[in-house]
Amino acid sequence: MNPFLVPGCVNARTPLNPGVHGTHEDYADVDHTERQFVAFQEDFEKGDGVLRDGRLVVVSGPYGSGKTALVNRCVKWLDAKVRKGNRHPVVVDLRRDRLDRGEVTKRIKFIAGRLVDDLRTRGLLEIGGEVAQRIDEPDRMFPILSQVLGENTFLVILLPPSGDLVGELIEYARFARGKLLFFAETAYWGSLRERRGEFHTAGGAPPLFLELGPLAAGDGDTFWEFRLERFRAYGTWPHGDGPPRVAENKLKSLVSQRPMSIGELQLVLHALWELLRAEATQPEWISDEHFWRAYNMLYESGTGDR
Amino acid sequence: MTTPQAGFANPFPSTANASGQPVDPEVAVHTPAVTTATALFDAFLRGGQQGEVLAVIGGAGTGKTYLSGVLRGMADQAEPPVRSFYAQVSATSFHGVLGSFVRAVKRDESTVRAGVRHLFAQVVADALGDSDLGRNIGSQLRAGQLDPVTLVQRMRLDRSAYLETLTARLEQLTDHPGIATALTLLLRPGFDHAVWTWLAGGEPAGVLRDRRITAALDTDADALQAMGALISVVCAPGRKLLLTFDELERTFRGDLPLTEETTTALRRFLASAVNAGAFVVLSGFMSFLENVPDDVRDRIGPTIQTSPFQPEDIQQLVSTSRETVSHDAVAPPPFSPQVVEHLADLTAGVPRLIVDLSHRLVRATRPTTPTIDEATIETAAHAYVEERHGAYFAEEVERALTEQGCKVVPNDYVDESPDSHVDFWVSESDSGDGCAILVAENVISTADFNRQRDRILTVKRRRPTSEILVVVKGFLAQGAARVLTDLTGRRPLVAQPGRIGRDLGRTAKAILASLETRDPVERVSNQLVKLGRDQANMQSYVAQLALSMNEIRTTNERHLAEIIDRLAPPSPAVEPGAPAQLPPAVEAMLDDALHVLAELLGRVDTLFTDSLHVAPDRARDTRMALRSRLRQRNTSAAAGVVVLLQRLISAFGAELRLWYAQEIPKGQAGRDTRQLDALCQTYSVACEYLPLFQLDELRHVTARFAGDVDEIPTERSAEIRASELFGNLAGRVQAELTGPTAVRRR
Repeated sequence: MNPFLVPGCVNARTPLNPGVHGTHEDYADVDHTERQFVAFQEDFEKGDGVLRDGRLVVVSGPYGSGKTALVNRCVKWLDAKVRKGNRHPVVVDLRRDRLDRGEVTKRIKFIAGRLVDDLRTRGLLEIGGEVAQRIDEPDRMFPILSQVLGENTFLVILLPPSGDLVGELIEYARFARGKLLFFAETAYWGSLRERRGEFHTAGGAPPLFLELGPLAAGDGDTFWEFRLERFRAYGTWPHGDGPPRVAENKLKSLVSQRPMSIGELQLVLHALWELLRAEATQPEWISDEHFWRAYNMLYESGTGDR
Repeated sequence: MTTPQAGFANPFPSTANASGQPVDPEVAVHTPAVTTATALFDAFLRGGQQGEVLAVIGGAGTGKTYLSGVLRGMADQAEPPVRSFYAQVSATSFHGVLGSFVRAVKRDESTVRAGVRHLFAQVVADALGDSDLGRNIGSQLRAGQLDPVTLVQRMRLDRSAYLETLTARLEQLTDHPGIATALTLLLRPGFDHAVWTWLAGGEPAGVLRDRRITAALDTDADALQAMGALISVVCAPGRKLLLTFDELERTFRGDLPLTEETTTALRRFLASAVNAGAFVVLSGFMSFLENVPDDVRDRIGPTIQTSPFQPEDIQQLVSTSRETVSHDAVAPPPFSPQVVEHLADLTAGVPRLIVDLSHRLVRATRPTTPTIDEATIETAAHAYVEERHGAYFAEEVERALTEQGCKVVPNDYVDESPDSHVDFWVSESDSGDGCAILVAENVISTADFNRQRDRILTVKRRRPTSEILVVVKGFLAQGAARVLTDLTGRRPLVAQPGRIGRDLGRTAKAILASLETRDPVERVSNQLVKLGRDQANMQSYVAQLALSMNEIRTTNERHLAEIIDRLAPPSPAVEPGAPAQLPPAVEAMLDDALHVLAELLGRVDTLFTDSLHVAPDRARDTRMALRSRLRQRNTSAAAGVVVLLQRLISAFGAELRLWYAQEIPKGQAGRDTRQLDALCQTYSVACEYLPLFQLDELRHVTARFAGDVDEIPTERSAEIRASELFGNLAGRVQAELTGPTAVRRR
C-alpha cells in the first residue's frame, strides 16, 4: 500500500471524504485544518440558532490546501450531529457543476435550477410548485424555498468553486436564511479578505469564514509520521523492514523554502514512495536526488493534472 | 503583385499601398526620407531592447505610408522577425485610435497571449525560487522551455495566488486595474472574446463586470493605457515591435488641443513603449507635429520629412519594379524620360498616384512597344478615372451636396453655348448667388486646359457674382492647376476615390457660407478686385504653353533675365534725392512681401546656428536631420527663389515710387495708368516664371527639429498664399493705386 493514498481513493489528489473513503481519523493536523474544523464545530454547537437563521460557510485557502476535504468533514460531522436531534439534513452536492466561464447571474440561476431538480427528484418539492416557477428569480426563490421545507428539514447545499468571483459568494451570503446552509470554497483568499466587509452589509445571516493556509514548518514531518504510522500498522515494505528514512529537517526545509500546500506535498510523497518501491537497491536515506526525481516524474506523468 | 496584362507582367499593383502593407526593402525607392528612416530602424534592430519614437511628417501622399511599409518589410525580414502593427487613425481622439490598434494587434493575438504567458512564467519562477523542488525549473520557465500553466496545473501549485500576483504586476505596468485583470484572463479559456471586445473600446461583458471591470475604455487616457499595456505585454519576452500610427493630423488638431490628462497618458505611453522595446512611428501632416504638446514632444526622437517623389525617384521606382518581374515573365518596356517627367507633374510626386497611373500605363501599352511614351498617358489616365470613380460619381456628388443641405441643380447651362455647361449649380436657396461646380475628367493636355478655361470664363461672364469650383476626377497638370486657381480664386479639387463626397460637400458648404456672410456691396467690390487681378494675371495663360512646349522654357528663361535687368534698382546718381513714398497701403504690401522673404532667410540662419550650437547628446540626431533637410533637392532652388523675389520686389517698388512721384499733367484726371499697367504686367510675368511653390519647401526645411514648426500650413494653402502674396502683388497694388480709394486721394 502507498500510505499517501487514502484507502478507497483513486489517486493522490482525490480529497478526503469521510463516509465515502476514509474516516475523520484520516485527517492529519496540518495547515490549520484541525483549528478550522473546531471553529466550525463551535459555531454549530451553539444550538439551533444557526439552523434557524441559515448560514454561508466559506472555506478559503490556496490550491491543494484541503478546502474540499474540510467541507466534506464538516458536512459529515454536521449530518451525524443533527440527526441525533431528529432533524433531517438534505445534502445537495453541486460541486461537480463546473461553471468557470459564465456570468454570476447565470451561474446562480443555473444552480437554482439544479437545486430544484434535485429536490423534486427526491420528492421534497412539488413539480410545478411555486419554487420551481421562481428559478429565474433567485432573490424570490430562496426565501420561498426556506418556507416550504418541512419543519425539521434543512438543506446543506455544496456550491461549485467560485474561483475569483467573490461577488458570487456575497450573493449567496444574501440568500442564506432559515434552513438553508451553503458551503462554498475559494482559492482567491486574497480577494476574499479584501471584500470581507461586503459580506456583512449584504444582508442575510452572517457568514462563517474558515481559512486554510500553506503548510507550517513542522507540518511536513507531522504528515510523514502520521501516514507512516498507518503504514506500519497495515502495510509491508517489499524490500525488507521498512522504507528508507528521511533525513532530519529535510521535510521541514522542503515546506519552509516556499509556500507549499498539503495537496502538493501529498503528491510528491506519493510519487516518492512509488519511486523508492521500484528501486532495486534500497538506500538507507532518501536523498535530495530522490525528491527531485519524484518531482520530475510527477511532472512528466501528468498524474497531478486536474 | 504582378498582373499579366497585354503580354506584360505588370509590376505595379492596381491599387497603391495605402494601408501600410509591408514593402520589400530590396525593391523600395530610397528617397532621402526612406534612407534616413531605414538607417534608424536598422540601428534599432541591431541594438538592445530599447525602443525609439520617430516622427514622420509630410503632405498628403508624399510617401509616409510607403515609408511605414518599407520599415514593416524590414521588420518581416529581420532575424528573428519583428512584429509590426500599422494603425490608420480614423478618428480625432486616441480613443478612436484604440479600436484600429486593437484590431491590428488581435490579428496576431498569439503574441499577446505569449506575452502574458511569459509574465506568468516569471511569477511562477519567482515563487519557486531556488527551492529544492524548484531546482532548474525557474531557469527553464524564464527561458520559455516550460509552460507555466501546465506546470502549475500538474504540480498542484497555487494558481490563484500566482494569478493574483500576475494581475498586480500588470497593474504596475499599466496603471489600470481593469486592464491588468483583463489581460490576466487571457490565460484562462473562454474569456478571449469578452476581453478583446472590451480592450477595443466595447462595453464590458457580464463576465468582466463580475470581475469589477464595470466601464468601457472610453477616454483617451484609458485608450493610451490599454495600448501601452498591450505593447508592454507583446514585448515582454524580449520581442521587438514596430508600431505605426498614421494620419495623426486627425488626432493632433489645433482646434482641439489635448487635455492635460491625455497629454500625461500620451507621455507615459511613449515612455513605456520605448522602454518595452518598441519602435514607434508617429506619422502625419506637418500640422500634427505642430500640435503635439511640448512635454510629449520631448519623448519624440528624430523627425523625418517626406517629400514628393522627384523624377529620379520615379525612374528608380520604375526600374526596381521592372526588375521584380524580369525573371518570371515579360517585363514591361522602360518609361521614357518624358513620361517620367510627365508622371511627376501629373501626380505632383505623390507615390500613391504614381503607382496607380504606372499600373495603367503598363496595361495600356501594346506588346511590341519598345518604350512607354507620353501618348499612353491619356489612355492610362482615362482608365484610372473609369476604374476609380465608375459610373456613380455624379450620384455620389449630388447626394453629398444634398446631405449638406445645398440646393443642387445638376447639368445646368448658364447660356446656350456648349461651354456654359455647369455640372452642378449649388446654392442655399432659389434666389441669390451660388457656386458653379465644373467637373473635368483629366486636365493633362492643352486642349483639356483650354476647355476648362473657356467654361470658367463663360460662367464668370454670365454670372459674375457667383463662385466657381473645378473638380478634377483624375489627374491635373500642375501648370494648369496654378492657372485654374488664379482664374477661379481657389485651387481645383482633385477627387480622392471614396472621399470625394465628403470633401466636396464640405468645400461647397464653406463656399456657400462665405457667400451668405458677405455684404452685397462688398461682394461687388470683391468681384471688381478679382477682375482686376484676373486682368493682371492674364499673362499667366502663357503657362499653358509650357504644358506642351518644353522648348519654350529656354526662351522664357532668357526673357526673365531681360525683365530682371529692366527692373534693376535705379542708380542713385541718376535719381538724386529719395523717391516719393507710395500710399501707406501699397508700401505695406511691399513691406509685407519683403518681410516674409527676410523672415524665410532668417530661418535659414537660425537653422544653421541652432544646428551648430546643439548639445553633444543631441548632435547626432541634429546632424542626421540637417543632412536630410539639406539633401532635399528643392532646398537650394527655394533659397534662390527667395533672393530673386527680394530683388524683383525691391526693383518693382522703386519703379512704382518713380511713377508715383510724377506730376499729374495739366488737364488730366490722374497719372498715366498705361505706364503703371506695363509695370505691373512686367512684374506679374516675372513672377509667373518663378516657382513660388518652392518657398514652402524652404519653410519646411527650416522648421526646427520636432519642435517649433510655427504655422506651417498645408502645402495647398501655402501655395495659394504664396500666389496671393507674391504672384498677385501687382494686381493688389494696381487696384490700390487706381481703385476708388485712389480716386478719393486725388
